[in-house]
Amino acid sequence: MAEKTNAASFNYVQGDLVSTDPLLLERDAHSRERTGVAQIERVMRGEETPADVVADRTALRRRGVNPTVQPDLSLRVAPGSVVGKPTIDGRARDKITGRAQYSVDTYLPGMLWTKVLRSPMPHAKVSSIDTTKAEAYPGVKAVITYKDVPKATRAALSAEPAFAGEPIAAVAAETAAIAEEAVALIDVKYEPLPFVLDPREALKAAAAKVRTTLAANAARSPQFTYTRGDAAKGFAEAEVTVEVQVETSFEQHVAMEPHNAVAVWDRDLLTIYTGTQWAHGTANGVAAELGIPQSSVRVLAKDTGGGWGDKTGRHPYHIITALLAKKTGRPVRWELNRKDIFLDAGHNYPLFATAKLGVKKDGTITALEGTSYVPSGAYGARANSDDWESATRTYKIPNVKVGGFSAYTNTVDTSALRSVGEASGTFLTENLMNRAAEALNMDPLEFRLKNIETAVDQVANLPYSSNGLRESLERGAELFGWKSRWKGWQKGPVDLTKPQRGVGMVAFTCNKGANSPPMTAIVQIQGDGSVVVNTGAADIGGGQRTVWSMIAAEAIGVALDTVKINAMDTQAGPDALGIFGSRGTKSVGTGVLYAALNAREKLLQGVAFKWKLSNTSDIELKEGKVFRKSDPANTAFQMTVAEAAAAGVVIIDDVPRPAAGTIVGEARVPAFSGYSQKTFGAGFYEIEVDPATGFVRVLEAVQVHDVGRAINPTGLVNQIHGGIMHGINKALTEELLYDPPTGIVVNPNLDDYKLHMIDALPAKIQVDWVEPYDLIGPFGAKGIGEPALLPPSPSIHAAIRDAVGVYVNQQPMTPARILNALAKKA
Amino acid sequence: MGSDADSGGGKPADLSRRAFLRGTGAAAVGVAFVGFGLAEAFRGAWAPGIAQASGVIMPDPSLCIGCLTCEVECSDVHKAVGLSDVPRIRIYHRDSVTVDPEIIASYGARGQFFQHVCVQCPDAPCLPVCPVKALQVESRTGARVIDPETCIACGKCEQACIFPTPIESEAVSTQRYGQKSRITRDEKLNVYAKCDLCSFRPKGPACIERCPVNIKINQGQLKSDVLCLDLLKPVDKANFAKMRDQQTAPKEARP
Amino acid sequence: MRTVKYTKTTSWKQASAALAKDPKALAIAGGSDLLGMIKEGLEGKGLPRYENLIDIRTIAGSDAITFKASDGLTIGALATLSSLENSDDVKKNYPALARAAGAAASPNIRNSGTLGGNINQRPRCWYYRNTEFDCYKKGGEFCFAVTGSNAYHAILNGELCYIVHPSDTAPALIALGASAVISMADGGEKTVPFDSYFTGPRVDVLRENILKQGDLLKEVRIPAPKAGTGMSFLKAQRRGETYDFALANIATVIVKKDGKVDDSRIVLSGVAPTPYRATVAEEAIKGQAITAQVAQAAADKALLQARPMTDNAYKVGLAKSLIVRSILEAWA
Repeated sequence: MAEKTNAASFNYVQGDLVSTDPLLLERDAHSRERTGVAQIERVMRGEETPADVVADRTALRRRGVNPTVQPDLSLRVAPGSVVGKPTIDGRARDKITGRAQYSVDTYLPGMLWTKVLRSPMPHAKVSSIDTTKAEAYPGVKAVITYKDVPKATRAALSAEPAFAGEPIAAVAAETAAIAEEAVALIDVKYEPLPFVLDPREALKAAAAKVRTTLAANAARSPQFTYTRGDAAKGFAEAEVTVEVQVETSFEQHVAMEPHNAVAVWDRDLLTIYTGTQWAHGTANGVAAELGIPQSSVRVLAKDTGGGWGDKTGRHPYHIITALLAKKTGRPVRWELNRKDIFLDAGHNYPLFATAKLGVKKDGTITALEGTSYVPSGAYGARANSDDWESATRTYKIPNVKVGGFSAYTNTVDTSALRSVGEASGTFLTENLMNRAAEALNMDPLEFRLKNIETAVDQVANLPYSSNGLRESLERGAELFGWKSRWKGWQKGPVDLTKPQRGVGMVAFTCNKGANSPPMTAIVQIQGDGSVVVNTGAADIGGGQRTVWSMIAAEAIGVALDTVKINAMDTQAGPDALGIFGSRGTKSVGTGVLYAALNAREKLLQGVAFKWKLSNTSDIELKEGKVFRKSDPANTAFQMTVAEAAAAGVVIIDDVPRPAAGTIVGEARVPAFSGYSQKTFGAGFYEIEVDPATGFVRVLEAVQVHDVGRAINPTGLVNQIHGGIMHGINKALTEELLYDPPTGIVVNPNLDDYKLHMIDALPAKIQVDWVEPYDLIGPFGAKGIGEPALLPPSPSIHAAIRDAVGVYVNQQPMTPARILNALAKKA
Repeated sequence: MGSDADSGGGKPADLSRRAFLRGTGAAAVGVAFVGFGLAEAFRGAWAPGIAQASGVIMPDPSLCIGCLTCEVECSDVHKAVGLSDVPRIRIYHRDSVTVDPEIIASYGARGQFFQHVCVQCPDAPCLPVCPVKALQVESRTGARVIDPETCIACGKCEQACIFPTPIESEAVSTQRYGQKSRITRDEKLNVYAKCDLCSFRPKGPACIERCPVNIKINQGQLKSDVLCLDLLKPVDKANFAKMRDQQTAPKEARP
Repeated sequence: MRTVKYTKTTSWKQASAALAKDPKALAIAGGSDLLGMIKEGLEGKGLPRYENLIDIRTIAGSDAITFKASDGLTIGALATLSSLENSDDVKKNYPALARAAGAAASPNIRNSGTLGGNINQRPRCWYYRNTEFDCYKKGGEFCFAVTGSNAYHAILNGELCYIVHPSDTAPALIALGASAVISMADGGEKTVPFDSYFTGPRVDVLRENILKQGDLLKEVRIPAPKAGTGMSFLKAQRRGETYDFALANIATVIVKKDGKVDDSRIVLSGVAPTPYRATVAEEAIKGQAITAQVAQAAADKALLQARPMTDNAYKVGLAKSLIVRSILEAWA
């Protein structure tokens, strides 16, 4: 989504960073030059054009790198620099050896265990509930029901469950087994109510209401629509029109660490240990729901074992454990089991979409039209603009008319999951592009290169802060050898007796990983010159901690190993808005960068005072050493960062006064405007389909991403590899299924909800990236976690078509669907 | 599942006939209730001395998905009370059946099926041929039942039955019973077995209760004016004749 | 998870007796299926909540694998799948069984899971495995697969209940003409060919085989392969080499004589409530020299009886392909 200019936010073109927010310390022109901020400002002021920047940065890019399967990452880093240097995450070893402590490993003395009673029906009214038997069961310490929870759009326990599995009551007991037995003793009677699972049905006037309090099932009003140009005119101009209908599935995030909470009260302070992507979001949500001040809720996390979008904010398990802990006066723990998670945690919503594309015989696209429906679950309202993110931006299309309908449904809760919206949207968009290329008998790569729009975001009508899509496509094609491996659109019959190979490719635009701040961070320089970064944000496994350390080390000029990131704790760090939308690098990283620069400046002010200099402009801090820029060899003007830290000053009324203690650099970075900020990338895949069994094996994956600039190439490669694995699952196996007549999930377990194992990874993976240096991101960087997921599924979809001649328009593309498609064709 | 489109237009002909039968049946019950004597007169006219069954299991082939729940349930409930486990209702393949579009829309094209079950003939040709009077009229339901203690397995009733079944290889189940008509020999117990309307079951015939299509129709999840298996009251002669026609029409003439 | 009583036994008689007197007792071997069921809390009118586990791994010699060229192979029911998979005797003489054992589950599960457990495991139907659905197999009164999501259910011989038999080793054992030695509740013992070991819903929807409470599968015996025997085992699944229950699998044993099929056994799992012997295909190839056409004709004929449901029609084509490939492989 484009950042709209808003009056309160900072505007580079009109002003100066400092004038709008005194906490934003960008005083040092030197620092600005160093980080590239100065150049961005010159562009903003019109002194340089973005083209100059791109030209400069293109020159900076790629230093003779020619990555093969294992790129030589060290070639990418400038000598003496921390940023860009391949760095292994400090906790990697602990995680691999099982030594790492996750939030779910929290056990407190005297702790009780929780189990909840879930609705067996997708929609019902609880007509009566009797907990006396459960309360009397030995070892049970408290039972709460929907009568005991605060009101909320989705109350933590419900009197009118609106999806099968919604919690009705909860038990705290001495052991998990006792809690489980006690739940079975709760006597509850339901009055079944009509339910609806399909968003297309839900939006019909006569449909059953998902909740009795709803006037209509529309989850948004108005629903999402977007038009530009005149679609009807565009289709009239088109010489060929292609159409698609796609369906994707409910997917759970399946984080390795299950959702969890341990709540404990100390007088009026509620402490919750929980795996979270956003501690402040959790704390503030809990505070609001319980009606207590935010300062009375402390949320802290150890390592979070994966979130993928489903561990942000407040969840029923936070409220339930908090209430049970209050009632019992003891710590209360709830670790959701996998079934709990499948039934009651968030899920990615499926997309039911139709779309058509008009093209001219020369390959020019004239028009796009489409409609999508999503089931939002009983309470959520899922975004529909993201579903059309890639379709409306990636390619030059003058006439567009798309709409997305979000409906309440009596289905599992929905939340964001890695590239929510774009993931299904890209499956749809690239399917259309492939069909168009096929209809025109064009090479799909040529068709895309001809049509991509890389200068301007056609929706926001703003220039991109960086766009390396063309370079990504070209680099990917080169690595894959697309030109020689693409054999044209096969029309002939397929030999169904043996496995067939096929290739497919994809291009995408994504808004994840590109979000700019707002962002707050605190960077402290300790008395010995070591550095503590306090973001309040989490490392959820993506290596964010390492990236922030590298940014802070580079910005201040100290060694990487002296920088530590504080554990996530709402009482220790400022609200960093959490790790979602792949914000870790670009948003949080920007905050860390500015806070580090602020701390550095404060440190150098002390040095200037000691050296009797009027300002810090002639002082350099590099690799832990402080010296005069103009006279680096002069030992009278040299000290270590530890000595500098001891020489603290504080400036009051422009007068520096000596002050001991920790140097605190801080930043509250506002949102940036004037640019459209997106991530881009391309994928090239080869697969093999066995037409007899419908089994797909991925043979080769090439992904090239526009990452702005790689801060930590090691982490970057890991993230892309993870995206490939996740994307292959999404493409081929992951789906949560309903029993349509009863509205109950049939496969809430990892036996029937299939996830591929490591053996599904292709034998050959090539990962590369292009570095157009983003105008806004720290050191030009953008995020990667979510965009990395986008190429596999649409590429595999295209490759199946290439291999056996059928488009499988339902994701996941299971053996059953592939065999059905083949049978239909035959 | 379940479209909003009016599925009435797409109903095969025999469905509307079923609706008609059911309608007249219901009306006639009312008459019979008010004017008891009249109904008695009807019965008397049919087959003197034989009480009419209170209900007839009436299948609707167009609604059948061939799941065999009725067959297996029939076996199970009879076995449970110590009777022969030979299924009294059997499902056969029959390509000429037109499947209700509502069924195809909800459950896919699963094939075409025909159900063979005793219709409790008013004149019950099986009754008089039994040399040991093992075939009797059950007092509560009027079902024509075989007493396995008395049955000598002579096979006369099987031959007397006017509803021959097709060759058994056309049966959907691969289980073979040597079935020739709607009265079947149980080789293990050496007795004959036929539909007894589950007269020992207060809830009535198990097949009707357990038929998944019936269950879905009763739950309102499947639109249909009639059930796949129903217990209809054949109170008048004309009505019963129509039912029997439906069950005995030559194969090629069947809907 | 609930608490259960756990008893070690040292003889088959002792185990059978302990089980026979307690309907809530069940034998435990590798436990990979049973513990999951208990943990999940699966129970119903026809599925007791097991409270007493009788360990039979502790019976001496119950996991022995012995081969004699004259008599064939004897496998203790407690032999682990990995010991079968890695046994030289099995690999050499019954490669289809070695492959079937190796195709089941994951290495971890194969190391603890036993042959007996693999044969007698309960079905994987997601309605059966889900506590929310009180289905026939748990003593309930409905088969949810008939009107619900049935992509992984039976296309053949389904009636009342539409589970598919999940075992990988069972089709191989039937194809190899194996027999089961059963330690009976009354202390006796009997030998039953696997041809008549598995039973469908019509016989008893609450069970998948002839074992009654107190009966235990003690041993599996496989005759020595005749000269000219070729065999094959294939498995189609949703996940590659990683553990997965079969969409369908097949074991084929062909005895060749004078360049023609003298005898054959073709058995599929994952398509019917019991392992399904494709006798129609066996008859179709008898006396023939195998070619792709012959195999295809046999497969087409075998699947004429298929009765797919809403979501599983793909299995018809899948089963045909497997039959063709398996016949060709066993013939080669």
